[in-house]
Amino acid sequence: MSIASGYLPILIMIVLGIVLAGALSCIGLFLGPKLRGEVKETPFESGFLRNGMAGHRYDVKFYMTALVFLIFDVEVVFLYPWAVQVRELGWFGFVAASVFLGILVLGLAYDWKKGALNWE
Amino acid sequence: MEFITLADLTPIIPEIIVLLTACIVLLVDLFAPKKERAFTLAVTTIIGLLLALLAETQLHGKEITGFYGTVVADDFSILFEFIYMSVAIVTVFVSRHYISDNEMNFGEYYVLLLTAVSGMMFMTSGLDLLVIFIGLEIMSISSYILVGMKRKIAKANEAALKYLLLGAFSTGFLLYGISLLYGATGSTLLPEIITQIKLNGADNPLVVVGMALVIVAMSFKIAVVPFHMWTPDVYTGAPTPVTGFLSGAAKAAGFAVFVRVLLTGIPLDSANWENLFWILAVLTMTVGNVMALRQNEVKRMLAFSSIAHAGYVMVAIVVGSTSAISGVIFYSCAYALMGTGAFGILTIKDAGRTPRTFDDLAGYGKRNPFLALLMTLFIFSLVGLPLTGGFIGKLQIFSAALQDGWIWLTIIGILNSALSVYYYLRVPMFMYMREGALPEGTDLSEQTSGFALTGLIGTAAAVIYLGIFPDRILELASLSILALL
Repeated sequence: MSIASGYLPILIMIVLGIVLAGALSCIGLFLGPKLRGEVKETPFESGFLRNGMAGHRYDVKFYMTALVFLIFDVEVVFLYPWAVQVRELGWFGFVAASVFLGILVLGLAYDWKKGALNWE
Repeated sequence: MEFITLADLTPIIPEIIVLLTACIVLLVDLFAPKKERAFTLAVTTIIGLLLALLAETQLHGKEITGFYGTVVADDFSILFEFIYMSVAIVTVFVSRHYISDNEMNFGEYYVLLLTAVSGMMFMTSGLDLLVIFIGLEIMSISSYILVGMKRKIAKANEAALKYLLLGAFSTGFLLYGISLLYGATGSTLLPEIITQIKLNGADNPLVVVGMALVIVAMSFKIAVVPFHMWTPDVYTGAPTPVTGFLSGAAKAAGFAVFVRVLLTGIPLDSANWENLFWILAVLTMTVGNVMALRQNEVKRMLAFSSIAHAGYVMVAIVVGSTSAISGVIFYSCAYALMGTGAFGILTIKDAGRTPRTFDDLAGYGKRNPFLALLMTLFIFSLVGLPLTGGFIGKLQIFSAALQDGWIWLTIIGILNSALSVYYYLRVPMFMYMREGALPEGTDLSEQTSGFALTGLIGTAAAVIYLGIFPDRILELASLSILALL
């Protein structure tokens, strides 16, 4: 047994990743409907105009959305490990997670009331 | 591995109270009716801070650690946390009218004030470098926003941006320093680091560089020359109550970390460190005072003089004996009070505007005799005249320096103190001896808000109390040092 054999699963993972990604894009290429038009051809820029001055001003609502997203993102990151360990952690863990969620809900309420969720 | 239990929360109860208050203030801001909103916000903040103070008194003398020894509530941290919270309370008192006059009457103002205080508290009670780092960041990020709260004023934006950029730099230094110390000792826990250094000696270049970087980062925060360049602009551009808060509480927090990290065991016995601090102390005192001589704006003068005050405290850190370190605590406390007091007076409208330059102060004594009296008291304390807290602080520091044979340092310090008399006394001189030429039709009938007055009278009383009965605080300070060493 060489040290390298321990890395075999990772090699398989990498190969699988390449094959899967390649296959999926190829399938799309062959089977997908093709409707070409000016709007369709432009690169997707998350809602921004595709050309213009580099230093132009963004609408502040993009940042608002990003911040709101952050709340839920962080929530998920911390709740997964808690959910896996929930039995071992018992009631103490439950209360701790509830406090964490409570603070996040407070943040959501703040966003809501301040109108960060209104797009227009 | 043991789990964290409820008992671990005991040492951080005051921090939890402050953070809960921040949450409650946020809710009050959202749901309170518009009419009483501003008043309710201020009162809620003050009640929360008072509750946290009460919790501190309950923790006093117990020295409880928690979270695997990463946080501690010892007498040292409790004393410093008292300073932060007192400064925050005074700041809330003087902010009430100021923030509504300046279109920054947001609930977020109080929330950020509270989170900044909680960050300082974590900095002080942290025994782990990472906890200290996180506390420092909570404090810094809150104060960046506070500095830029006057959104429509270009100067405030400039101040906030400068503060953010230099703050980010110093954070980088601190993290790099922590990582080097971790590399050298294999731990971020302060007691662990200290044992490792004692075992293997402090000559390890990793330790030396790591310590140097931590010192640089903290020097940025307490504005030690040559890391002071941001101070005058930030202190001048920030809303005046925030300036008072930063110069009083944020600097005290910096000194608390300085003392905790440097004097609890990381050996500074070697002559090199002492010489480094010697030079920093002399530079800080002198540059601060000389630059303050040339200022026309009162706020900018106070900003430069706050650099000089940091220099006096650095003298005590050079000396490093028990009485010198209790001098650090006492001086931080006294400066926090007199600094916030002096900045607090500048928040109050006089003749339709807040005083900015020395000329604006002309005739102040006639227009507002009582406020002028309070300002004179704060200025006398900043100069270090007897019967005020500033005098006892300087006395404690310089006598400790003399006892340990730092004669030249003491002489330079006292000369600097004498230099400061010139620019400080210009304030009472303009207030009492110059006639103010006000434009026709200036409204002089304005009433000073009772809220601000309460805070300022309280501060003045505390400054006098420290000047006349310093024994109690000095005793508490030296006891807390003994627990530390």
